[in-house]
Amino acid sequence: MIKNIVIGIIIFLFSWKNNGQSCTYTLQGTVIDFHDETPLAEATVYIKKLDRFTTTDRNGKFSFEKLCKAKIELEIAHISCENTTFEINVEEDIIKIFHLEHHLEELDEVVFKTDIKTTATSIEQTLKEEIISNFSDKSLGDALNTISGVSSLNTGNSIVKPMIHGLHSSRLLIINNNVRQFDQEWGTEHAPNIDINAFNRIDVIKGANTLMYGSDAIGGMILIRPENYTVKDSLFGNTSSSFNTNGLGGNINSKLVRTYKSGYYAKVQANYKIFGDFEAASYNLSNSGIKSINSSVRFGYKSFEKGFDAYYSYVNNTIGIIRAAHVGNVNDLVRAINRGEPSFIDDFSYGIDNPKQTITHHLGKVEAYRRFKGLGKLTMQYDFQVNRRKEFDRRRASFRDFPAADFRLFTTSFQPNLKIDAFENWTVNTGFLLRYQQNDSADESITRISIPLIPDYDKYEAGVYIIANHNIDYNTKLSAGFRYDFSRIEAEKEYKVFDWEENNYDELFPEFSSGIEEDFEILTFPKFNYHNISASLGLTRFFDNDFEFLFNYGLASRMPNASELFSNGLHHSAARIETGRLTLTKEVANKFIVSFQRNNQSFGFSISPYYKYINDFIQLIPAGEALTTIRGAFVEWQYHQVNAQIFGVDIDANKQLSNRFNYKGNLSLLQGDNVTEDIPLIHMPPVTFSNTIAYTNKEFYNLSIGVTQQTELKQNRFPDYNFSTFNPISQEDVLVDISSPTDAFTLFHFNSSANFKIAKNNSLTIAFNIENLFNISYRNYLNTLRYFADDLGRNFTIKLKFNY
Amino acid sequence: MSNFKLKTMKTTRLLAILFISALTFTACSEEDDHHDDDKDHEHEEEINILRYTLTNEADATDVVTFTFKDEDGEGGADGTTEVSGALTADASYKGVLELLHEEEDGEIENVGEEIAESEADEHEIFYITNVAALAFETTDVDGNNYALGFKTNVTTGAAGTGNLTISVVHEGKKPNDGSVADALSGNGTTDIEVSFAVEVE
Repeated sequence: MIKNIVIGIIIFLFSWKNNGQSCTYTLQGTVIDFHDETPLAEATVYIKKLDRFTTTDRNGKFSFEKLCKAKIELEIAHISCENTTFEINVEEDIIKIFHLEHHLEELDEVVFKTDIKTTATSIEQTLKEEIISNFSDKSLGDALNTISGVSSLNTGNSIVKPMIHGLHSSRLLIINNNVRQFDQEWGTEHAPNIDINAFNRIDVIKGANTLMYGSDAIGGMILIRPENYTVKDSLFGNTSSSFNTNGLGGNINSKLVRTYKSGYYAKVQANYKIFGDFEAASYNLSNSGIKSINSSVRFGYKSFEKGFDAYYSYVNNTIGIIRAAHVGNVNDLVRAINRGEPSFIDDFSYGIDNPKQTITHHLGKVEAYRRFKGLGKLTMQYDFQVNRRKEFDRRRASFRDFPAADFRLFTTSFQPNLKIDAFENWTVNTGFLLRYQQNDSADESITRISIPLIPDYDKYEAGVYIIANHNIDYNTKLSAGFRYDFSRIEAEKEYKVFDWEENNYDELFPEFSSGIEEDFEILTFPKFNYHNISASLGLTRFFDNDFEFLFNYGLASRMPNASELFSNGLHHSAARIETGRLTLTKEVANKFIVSFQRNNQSFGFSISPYYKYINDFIQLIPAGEALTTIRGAFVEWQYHQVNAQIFGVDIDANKQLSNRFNYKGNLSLLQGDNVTEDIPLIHMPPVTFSNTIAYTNKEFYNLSIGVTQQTELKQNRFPDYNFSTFNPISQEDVLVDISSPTDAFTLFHFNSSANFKIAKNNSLTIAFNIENLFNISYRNYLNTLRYFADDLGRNFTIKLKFNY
Repeated sequence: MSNFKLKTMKTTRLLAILFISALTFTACSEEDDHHDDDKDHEHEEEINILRYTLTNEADATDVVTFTFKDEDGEGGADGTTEVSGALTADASYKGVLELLHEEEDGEIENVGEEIAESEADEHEIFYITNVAALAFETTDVDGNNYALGFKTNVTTGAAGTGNLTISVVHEGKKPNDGSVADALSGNGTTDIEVSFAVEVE
């Protein structure tokens, strides 16, 4: 301010001295860096109209003399800066300071650029727009499955839950538009409700650079980033649609973006997807259809110094689960396993009957930022999410329209972040998080089930973090971070008096009990506090010829989620009763990952070995014996804590075979051990590998043709939790084989696409794909419906995408 | 400077509006079918008692009951079975099956009756035993004139011991060849499956 006054006085003095004359004015300027206020030498200063040049001296100073009274445009250019134009009204002698932005990385936030990483030391892989648009009518998990080290836990083919290095649910952070997605990620049959069409870039972070978003990324992080728009006047968008022979359905998606030179932008997008019953190789998967309506709206203002972004998205899914997967008890399950094909196969239909899930997810956020000279960028973000999930089972006619489970999860958070980038070679991110979450489970007046699977609860979270990135030299970068989180969960839950006492909860947690007992149930108020500490360390070193070495270490802690602590109820899809445990403690993981890679078009690769040791790893396993109910026997699955280790290696390679042919391949090897009991961990992904050969011809309509081979080997390392049960039909004990893995399989896929220019700004992309080319029958070890039916058979797809 | 202030004002105002609309929205999505406190005492009517009563046609005092009781429902304590006594050899019994829901205060709801009245066509009850010459014949039918199974004629032969399983099949194949295996060969699932020890003397 004082500086301004001084300058003002000087200007006043000069103008007074030179009053009334023309073409005698002087412009004296200093060009300085926005961040650290250091003068920028050797900057080119150019007066457009007059075609006059000069450069700044060592102190960043320049001057023009003999300027006439006029409006001039001054363009200042500096190495690694964006050329910046300033408008000046010359009416007097002028002394002025010009701020220039010279951090390349920062500029990327203003100028559209796609291939920047989350941070320099992050071990991550990216799904680009081409791949995402291939999966426009599938789910997020399907698209992520193409990345090495990423697999999925499926329920049928429409419920796809991503897994990184064998870990899923609340061990993965899913960041949707900078908002941590909370959509009841606890159950195996709960997949993230995210419309893949709303985005054009997804990053999978396997390493430790996740502290900004949470302390519990034991598996890793999936970062779904919003698009970045160029600041210019433009209106563009696309409409795409697909048709599939398998499921006789597809989607239609439209997106429209308007950007303004002033920095304002707006985007609307909507997607509708419908599929009827899908088909396995040799039969119809009755009641496997899906209907989905999604839309998103975004608008904001962006400039270097300040801006805001508002985003809202709505996802509505109705997902059918094959009818054959509903079993009454363990004997029904044995029959289903032995039958080899689904017990119920009907003609194709678009109808979705029970069992089914209907889910709506609202997500909204507002974010605003402002840059401060000599400091950095302050961002404030507020977000909210509402997730409503209803699950319908096959029940007696009078209960058919009552959901067996009905949860509403509300989450809201506030998170400011300050990025300090004023110091040469240092960037520091620091901030805090406040979050509130509430689950409201419908009671028996709605569900007709006495105790809901997940109880009502309130959860409070507060976190604080600091992450520093340091450039040691031009080729070496180091990052380190620390985070502390406090969380408190307060639940209101009914227990069967018998269970409460059998688990010794009456002695361990007498303070939770209300003492109120009614109808064999006791009302309790469990409350828990957790303190989580997490840390990360990362190192990157670049070598000649595009070689790069990265190392990441991460310490992650995770509190048990609501389902691990409290869940209590029946899952008909596997004749199982899931039981949570109040005595669970937090999970603490140490993870190490190294990546040696070469990012090169003609020959590139990445080899990433990793090792994770998880103390008190919470796993859901069959308790080994059947529970007797009036329905017959059930398997009880309980949450147990063991020490676990997971290690493996992800390998990716790409090679340009000729100027038209390309090769791409990947291999994922993983081993998971229950160290406490010295047995393998349950549900670990088997060895998978894939190879793709692609032909592309840029001159001929951007034609691209590719064939992919995808193999999944048999998982030979699995824990045996089989048991026997009495079968009244055969009048003998039968083995309930719930542990055996599925056989190895190899699938081939074909894809092709071409791009036709219609007008100057319009183009049409046509794609034709075949999945499971040879119509192979197979089942996937990580599909919970593997007991009942095969996975998908052959599918032909036609896709049209119109860009405008 | 003033220009900047104006813009900040605008941004802030916009943020405020968004925040408010977000909250309003959240409040609105509070659907009225989702209140926890409106316990209207409409219970789930989960069946927690199965009682099969056999009465000797020749001797009304010869009554044998097979009872399965899981008073706290699924989960909690396991259910218990109780058989009141042995069946008489070479006799004929009339069998009646009851499916009940009993609350802790003793209030009893007859769920079986409700099923027989309005959902008979999607249920069928089977009696499976390994005791030689112990035979069950279903005597009641559903609306389509297919076997139902709440009422049975039971005949005993020579003395022996074994087990009896009562199985209620939901949405099974109807009509079928009379075996539970056939009833379950299609879409059917087991709603109830309870086994008892049985003795004929």
